[in-house]
Amino acid sequence: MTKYEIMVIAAAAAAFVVINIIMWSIIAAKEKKARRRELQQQKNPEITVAPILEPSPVPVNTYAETEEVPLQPAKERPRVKRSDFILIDDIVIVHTDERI
Amino acid sequence: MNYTVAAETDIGISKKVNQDSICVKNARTKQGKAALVMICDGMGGLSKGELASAEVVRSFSDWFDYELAYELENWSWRDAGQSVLNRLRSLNSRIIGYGRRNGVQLGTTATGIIAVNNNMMTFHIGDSRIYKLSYRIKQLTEDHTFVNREIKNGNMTSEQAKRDPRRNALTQCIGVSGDITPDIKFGTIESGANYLICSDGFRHVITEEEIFGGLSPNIVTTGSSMKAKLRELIETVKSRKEQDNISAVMFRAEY
Repeated sequence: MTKYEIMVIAAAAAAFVVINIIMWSIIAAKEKKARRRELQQQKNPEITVAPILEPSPVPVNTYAETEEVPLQPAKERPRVKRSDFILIDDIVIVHTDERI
Repeated sequence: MNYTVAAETDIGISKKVNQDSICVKNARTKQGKAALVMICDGMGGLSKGELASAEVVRSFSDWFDYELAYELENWSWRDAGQSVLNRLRSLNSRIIGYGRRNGVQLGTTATGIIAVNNNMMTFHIGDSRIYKLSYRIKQLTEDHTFVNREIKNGNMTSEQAKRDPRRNALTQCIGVSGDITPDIKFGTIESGANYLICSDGFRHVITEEEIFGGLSPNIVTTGSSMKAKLRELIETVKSRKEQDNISAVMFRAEY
């Protein structure tokens, strides 16, 4: 076997090893991602099972614990329905006239 | 973009007062479509549960009629979530105050959907439920009940929970404890899916399969068919001797 042939075989072997490393890295990363998703789904099934509700971008339940309750409406606006706001369905059913 | 809504409620076979309250609104706005669909299941002594549920529904109804149009000009789901949270907490304080002043205990669940174009937010406290019906039925809310907490902690099985005398005990609702943590979630509306919100009285004695069979989005597509099917299911529930008030509302978006 000539020196040139040995070099070609070595280069091919090296390329094979590099391709394998890249391929298995990609597979491992995908598996890791899938495992993480599965784990999260077990923890929060109502959030992560698409396409019903996507994961909340706002951790609402955490800010619920920290912010104060304003007992007055934040903004006072005239209680007039706007002309560009057209109610198509308007069903309000309550069973008392009493107010708090 | 088209929204379809329907609502049905019934006093049931044994209660003297219907303590459930409902709000179903659908509007065309400058920014597109908007809807509010919610149920409050009132509870309490001296027949005041209906007052708690009515108060919450009226508050959301007024917000939809008078404030939403302004908020839509600079709409942010994060702000909307915060606003709903503040409203629920404020109502909680008000109802607790009323109960203390009048020596009664009253409370209500509050579960609903706010939709703007093809996005939505759900808010939930108590044991009313939201289901999504598409190719299958899926419960979107988690009951705030003692038995559900025990199941999650691994202290009880679903079968034990069904027989447990504390199965209706709530871990949180509006008007009972000072600190509430409603669940608020955001998402995209699935076009052509039916969303059902119901009080516990609606779903105690019927299975999820029966609900899906009756309200599947392939069968129920119009407001009138929604109403008719909801009434049909309510009559089934009554024939099975459910003791509670029975309420359900539906929402569907197509785009």
